[in-house]
Amino acid sequence: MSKSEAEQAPAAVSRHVRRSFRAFMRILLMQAVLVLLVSAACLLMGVVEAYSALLGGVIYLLPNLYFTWRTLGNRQAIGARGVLVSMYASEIGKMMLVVALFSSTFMLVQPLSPFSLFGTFILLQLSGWMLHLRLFNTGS
Amino acid sequence: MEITYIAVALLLGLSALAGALGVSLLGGKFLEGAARQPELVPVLRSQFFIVVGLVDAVPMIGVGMALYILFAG
Repeated sequence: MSKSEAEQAPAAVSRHVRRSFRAFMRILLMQAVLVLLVSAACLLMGVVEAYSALLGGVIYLLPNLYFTWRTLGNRQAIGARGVLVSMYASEIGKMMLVVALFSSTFMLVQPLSPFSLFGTFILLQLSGWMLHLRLFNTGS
Repeated sequence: MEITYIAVALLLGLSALAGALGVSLLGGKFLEGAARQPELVPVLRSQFFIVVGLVDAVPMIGVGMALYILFAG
């Protein structure tokens, strides 16, 4: 690899990671809008259902925001080992956040509608799959 | 009550096992791909990120259900 190519490689990596980071943030933004829409629809059934749906959305969005920021926020060119370590560390953090948020919700919020909470949570997981596949299905 | 604890333990344990298996297999494949074509690490990084998100979705739902049974059941 010539000297100019070696200088360009980290810039290309940084550009690619920045683009991915923006795309993932856009997906999270779309899901936040979806949460608000579902919560507004649940408001027709009752206030408890509406805030339960909102809580389900927050429990999904906060850990995923942390995961995205932690894994793709570092825009420097790190090796495969560094990527793997940061991904595993972020995954552990995400799981711990999910457990903490679910536990605190079930302990602190009463009354709660489990169907709205888990319904919104599962809907967001499904929408995440769909949006990821749609946005990144480039055939490469 | 004891049955509830056993159910919660099973849910959490199986969720952890499934998530760990999926993510470790994925990490192994990522390292294989990166060793074969190091210039593709940025692309593989994004793909790895997406698939980790897909793999841990179902264990996360399992963890949520288990905690609901534990705290509200």
